[in-house]
Amino acid sequence: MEKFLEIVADALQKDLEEVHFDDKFRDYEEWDSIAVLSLGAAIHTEFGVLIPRNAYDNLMTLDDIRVYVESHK
Amino acid sequence: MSVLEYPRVAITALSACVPQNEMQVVDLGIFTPEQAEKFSETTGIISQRRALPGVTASDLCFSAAEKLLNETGCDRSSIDGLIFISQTHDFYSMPSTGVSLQNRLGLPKTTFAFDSNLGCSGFVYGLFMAASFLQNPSLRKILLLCGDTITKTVSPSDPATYPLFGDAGSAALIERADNATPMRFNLFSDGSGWKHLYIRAGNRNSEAISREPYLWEDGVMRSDFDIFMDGLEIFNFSISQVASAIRQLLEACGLTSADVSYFVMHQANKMMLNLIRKGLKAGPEKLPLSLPQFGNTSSASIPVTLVTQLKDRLTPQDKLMLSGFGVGLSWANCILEAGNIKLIPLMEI
Repeated sequence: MEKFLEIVADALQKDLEEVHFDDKFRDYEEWDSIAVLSLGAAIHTEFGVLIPRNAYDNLMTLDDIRVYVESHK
Repeated sequence: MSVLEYPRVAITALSACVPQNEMQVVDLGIFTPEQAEKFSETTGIISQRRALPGVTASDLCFSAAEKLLNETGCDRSSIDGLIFISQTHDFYSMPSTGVSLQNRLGLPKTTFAFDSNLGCSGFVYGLFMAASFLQNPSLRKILLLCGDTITKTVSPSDPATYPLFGDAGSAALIERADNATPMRFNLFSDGSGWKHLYIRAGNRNSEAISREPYLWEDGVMRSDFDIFMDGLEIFNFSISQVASAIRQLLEACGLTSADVSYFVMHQANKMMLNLIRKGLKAGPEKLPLSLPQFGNTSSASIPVTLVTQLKDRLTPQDKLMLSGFGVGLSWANCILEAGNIKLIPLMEI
């Protein structure tokens, strides 16, 4: 669990204290087209999971991403 | 598709041409300095060359070809064929730009010439076409011209595309060479992914075409003549397909990544290329990058990388894995020996 947040924080260049599971990641100031790729790359590297657009658009919070990743590892 | 093997064919000379007009990502007016730094850190792109009005992809390819023909002393009357690969042709539909280049380059009327509409995979596909044609013993020399002025088709409001692309043209002389080590290819297509990277204008089924920018669903202002790119889908495609396709080709040839001297990849973005490289268990020294200075130069990116990064570094025995992937979706790989390829210094117009 903690590891997931560390990966997110690292990918988005945020401090670990700044990211929480119930955060709506699209509201982050750092969220842009590069952040999408950085997070995608980090998730693929760590978990071997790629998130397709049709699934991605339905993920609202970091916990949504975690659940998706957990169920597709 | 299985691996395709073409003996008795070689790239004997390669040149590339870029516009003189150089722009730094930080000066494009789309990013704050902090955002530009982050963009460059992730994509690897620091600057690119942007063609000024009036300069076309065919102009860049023409200049590259002129230089190649002059420097090699190649007799123009000996050119059997010309293939022009681009997605920024001189005309939207007709006539074919490749045919006009036959005339501009002073090639004989016996030269066959045509266009092929491919982007990031274009150089490898073009090499495949040329190598196929040259199996006909009556053909000896083919000019493969690949180039694009993609910067003219990106919205200045689109942070995903505007700072990503650069313009370039290239020319390769591909010849029948009886002693050459065979080139080996594998090629792929997945048209289901067309909507991940496309330009809406020109779609014959689309009635409303706007030259004026308007707000698209992704929140970006662009016209119907500007590229739309779903970066996430292109990323997923590249990561899931490219390394495995390269591994398939290596396995079929009885080779491993360790046997490859250089992976000369389409210059998509650095983060993606490094993930693919790691998937191939190859070190960074095997991945030459031209994108810091030139950005993603579409169909010319492999030639630009070869002439700018590997000139004076290749030995004839070096094994090169060329890999093009992107718009279409389309992807292709070729493994070949460097042989006596003459890499001509990059030119600017």
